[in-house]
Amino acid sequence: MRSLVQFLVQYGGVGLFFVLEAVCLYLVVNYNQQQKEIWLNSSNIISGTILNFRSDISQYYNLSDFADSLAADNARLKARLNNAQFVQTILMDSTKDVEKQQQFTYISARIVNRTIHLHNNTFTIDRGRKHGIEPHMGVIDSNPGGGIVGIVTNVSNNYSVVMALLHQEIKIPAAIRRNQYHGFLSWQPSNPTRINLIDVPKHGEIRRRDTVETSTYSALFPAGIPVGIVDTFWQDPGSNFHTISAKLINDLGNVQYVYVVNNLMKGEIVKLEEEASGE
Amino acid sequence: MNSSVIKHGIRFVLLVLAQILIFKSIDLDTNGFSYFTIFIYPVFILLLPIRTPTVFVVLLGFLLGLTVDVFYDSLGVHAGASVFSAFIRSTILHLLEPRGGYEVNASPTKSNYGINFFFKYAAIFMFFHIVVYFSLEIFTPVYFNEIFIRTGFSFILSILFIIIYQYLFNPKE
Repeated sequence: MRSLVQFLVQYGGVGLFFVLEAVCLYLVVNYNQQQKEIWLNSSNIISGTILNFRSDISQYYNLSDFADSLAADNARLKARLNNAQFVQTILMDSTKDVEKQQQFTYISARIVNRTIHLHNNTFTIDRGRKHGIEPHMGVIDSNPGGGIVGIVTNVSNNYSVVMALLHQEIKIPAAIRRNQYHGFLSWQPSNPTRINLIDVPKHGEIRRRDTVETSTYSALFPAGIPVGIVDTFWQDPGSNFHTISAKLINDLGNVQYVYVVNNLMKGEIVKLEEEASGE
Repeated sequence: MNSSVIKHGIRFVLLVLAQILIFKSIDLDTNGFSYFTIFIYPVFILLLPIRTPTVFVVLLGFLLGLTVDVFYDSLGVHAGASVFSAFIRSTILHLLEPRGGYEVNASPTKSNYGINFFFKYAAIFMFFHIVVYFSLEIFTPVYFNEIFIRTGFSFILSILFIIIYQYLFNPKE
């Protein structure tokens, strides 16, 4: 006991010093108006900084959720664009009644797996049957500059597999924007940045740097989405068609977000065309 | 020993009275900006016997500062400064220790160790006391200039009065 007292007397000074300074600080900020205000203000600044820092971090972690919600918003807005509408214009007497009907809606999705260097490439996206995706829906790039990605082939509850544009079986109607000569997009393995537009009528005038865009003939894609820029073109001997080699507008190697296109009128078109060919 | 305690007790009371009755009213106040505060009460801590354990010095410093605070209506400000200077007192004394060491039970006064020693001792001690005091009173580094100016004036005037005190009463302990 004595030695404890002795110890405290000898070394207690530091401890007591800190305790009493803490007490003094407490008294200062609690019983002095000016210091109290400064204290509250400063601690607000400090705690505010810390809270901001924390919310910055949590924002970073929520970023993917945020991007998802933005993508969903974009899909909704895209569906309101003109090329997603089916124009039902009725000419009646002299009044022109322009009526638009929703033709395309979009479902946002994220690419979770992809190949681009194989002969037949596929992407996997994180939306499936539950989200309204069905086989034979078109998939376009979220990039505002345009670009298409492929066509949905297989669908599970939560995921879908997309036959990429870089697939030998791909055959999508497309056209030259300037003069609307139509052909089909087709891909030759080996170069993931290029695509061919085949079966373009040979009398069509083609120039370098023409834009290739999705055609109105396609039931899978809204018309007018840029796909590529014409680079070279040639005519195979004895053929009546041009083959065009175009540079893809989007880089399929780093596409993150895509929109799956739902054509509300596809059923009608397909049924009608089946009826016609059945006859 | 007992007479020494009584002596220091009386000094405590008298210094506090001097501080709050005389020096509190010496004030050069222009436009609400007070240029200095004269500190006389720290003399009590300055003159405590050299061998007083730090823990007691700190405790006494706290009591002294708190007493002054009650009259200055600035609870904690003088106390904080006093606790701080009381705490570093032993370090200052250690730094200024004469070659032969301190005598047992001696107080660090002018009469014991000379004006040269006492001046240095008081100057270092008061410097820290005043800096901590104004830091606590102004409480924000935003007004650094204000802390600087008031520390300077207060320091000079306080040292002056503390030295005068030594010549006036020439205390031995």
